[in-house]
Amino acid sequence: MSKWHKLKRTDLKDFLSRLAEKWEVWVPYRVDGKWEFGIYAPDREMDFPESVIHVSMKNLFFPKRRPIAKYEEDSKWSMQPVAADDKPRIVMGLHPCDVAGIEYMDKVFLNSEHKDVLYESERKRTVLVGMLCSEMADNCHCTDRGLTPDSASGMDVAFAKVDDYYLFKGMTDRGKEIMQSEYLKAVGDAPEKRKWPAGKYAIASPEEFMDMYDDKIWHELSDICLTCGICTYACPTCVCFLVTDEKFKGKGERVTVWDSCQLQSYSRMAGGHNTRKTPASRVRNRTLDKFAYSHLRYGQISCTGCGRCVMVCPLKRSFPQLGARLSERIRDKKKSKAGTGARSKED
Amino acid sequence: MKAMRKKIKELFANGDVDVVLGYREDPASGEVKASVFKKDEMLEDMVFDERCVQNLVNYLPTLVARYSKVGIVLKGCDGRSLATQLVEHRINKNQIVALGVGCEGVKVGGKDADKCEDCPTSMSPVTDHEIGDKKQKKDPVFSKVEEIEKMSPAERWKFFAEYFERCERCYACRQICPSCYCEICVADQQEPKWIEPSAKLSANTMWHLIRAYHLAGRCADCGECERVCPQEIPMRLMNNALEKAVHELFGVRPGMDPEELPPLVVLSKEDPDTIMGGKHE
Repeated sequence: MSKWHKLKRTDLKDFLSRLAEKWEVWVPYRVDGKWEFGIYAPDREMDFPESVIHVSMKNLFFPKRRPIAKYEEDSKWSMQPVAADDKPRIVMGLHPCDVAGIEYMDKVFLNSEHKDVLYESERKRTVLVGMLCSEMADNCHCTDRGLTPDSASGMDVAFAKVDDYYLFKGMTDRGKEIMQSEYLKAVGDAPEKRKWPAGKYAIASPEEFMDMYDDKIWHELSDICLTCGICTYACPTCVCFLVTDEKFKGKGERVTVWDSCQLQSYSRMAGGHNTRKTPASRVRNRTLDKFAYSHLRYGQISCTGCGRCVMVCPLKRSFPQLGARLSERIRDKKKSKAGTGARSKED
Repeated sequence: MKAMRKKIKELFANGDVDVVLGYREDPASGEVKASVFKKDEMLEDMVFDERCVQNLVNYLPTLVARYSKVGIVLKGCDGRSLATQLVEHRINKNQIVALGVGCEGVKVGGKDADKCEDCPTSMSPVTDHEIGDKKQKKDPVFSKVEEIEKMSPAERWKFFAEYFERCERCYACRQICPSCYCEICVADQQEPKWIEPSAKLSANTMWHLIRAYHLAGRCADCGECERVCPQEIPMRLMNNALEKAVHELFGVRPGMDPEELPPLVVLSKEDPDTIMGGKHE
């Protein structure tokens, strides 16, 4: 088993600059009080956030707008697939919930019938250098979803912030290559294991959620939702996209663009019929997709407990709370069923 | 607050309303959110203070489809919003019980909201019941728009492009706007595709300009689009520029009068446009 290595905080820039010689290094930056990921530049002030940030890593593997083919009038509009990027890169500063999100995306884009070649190349060229959280933010509830804030599962390299230094550990063969750095010194001690609180937003089982499909509660749960798309864009496991052509002056691109089931246009079909016209039906779709459909398809629920949906919601509505409220309703229903032996009329 | 709760209890007791749209303070988090109150339900959690920023008018169309009588708590700006909806026949006044509350201004992010600076209505222009006092009407100030007008076209483009670049096209601005209610939004049309769906500068610019133009003479300046924008795009600036133009040309501030048609749908001989014999160039 490999050991934990120490990196002095003052050596961070040199360490990253050395890595940047071979890899494209992506790190978090703070711009106007907001976090974003960018390619490492020595003259730019950067820092690693203690815990989850409002932007998910999704954009680095499955970009918001992604050209998949190009065509030109001169070549009679014949389609040329976009070549995959294979420059090796390091994405640094992901948290366990981000990694869980990427693992879920793998199931959708790689381990399913139709492989997404562009996504595959992004995954292949990337070494995941994950950061173990040192605190849980207000909306964090990964411990309710079977994760721990300091779990290194799925990372190539894991690191943690301790006092005035960082502790690094190579987890995979790819990760160990990064560990070959003169700035890292092997030490015996590992970051302190903590006990994390759980039980904030406990939820029912996928099967129980499925039983709620026809319940009237959806109107109540969606009554103030705007049905804008921001929660789905921030969510690390929302992977819906649409394909569209963008043509301008004799040149064209076929692109995939993030789509959102919360928007009315998402389920509008040719001929104009809309299968999810009411906000209630759209909120139901997203909720069940997170807690039930994902489980049916990929064997795991797709909420990683990162809490970004709450962070970005214009109305500060709590999606996890919604799931918990629904679960409460499921329990109540069961109780009354057991008590009376019959389903109440209202339901 | 007491007076408001008393009034609402009275309305429920008389059967004047089925539900009331208002603001609720979540006892757990202390946050104030829009809420639909039913008879004898959570009325003790109902609040009205400077935290009640959200415009509730947007929820009315869904609620009047489900209930026959809907009460609504209105600030002055929300009242203007309601007036625009009534004049456009989107909502039937008979289904609404408007509870105007004297507004002392609201706070966004701990600061006085920008929109309160030149608020013309501390009390809603549409009311069935008035609670609290009216304050002096303020005249419109377009100081921020004037600042932009002083810029050269290139500077102006740079100013806005930086914001448009950031737009994620989540459409929160559209979704919260009571006046954005097209069955199929221009941004969602496929054939012809007026606006590309991808979040890039050219398409985002199209979206923001069309959104603003479609609200010319209709926007009551409730400021919700700007407040909900996750990227903090100054949408009120665009709305206000058009509001200023409409005010200068027609002397109208949308929402002030629930009987007055939006100036851009009225054909009048008094119009300043040359086609009607006016002198505007």
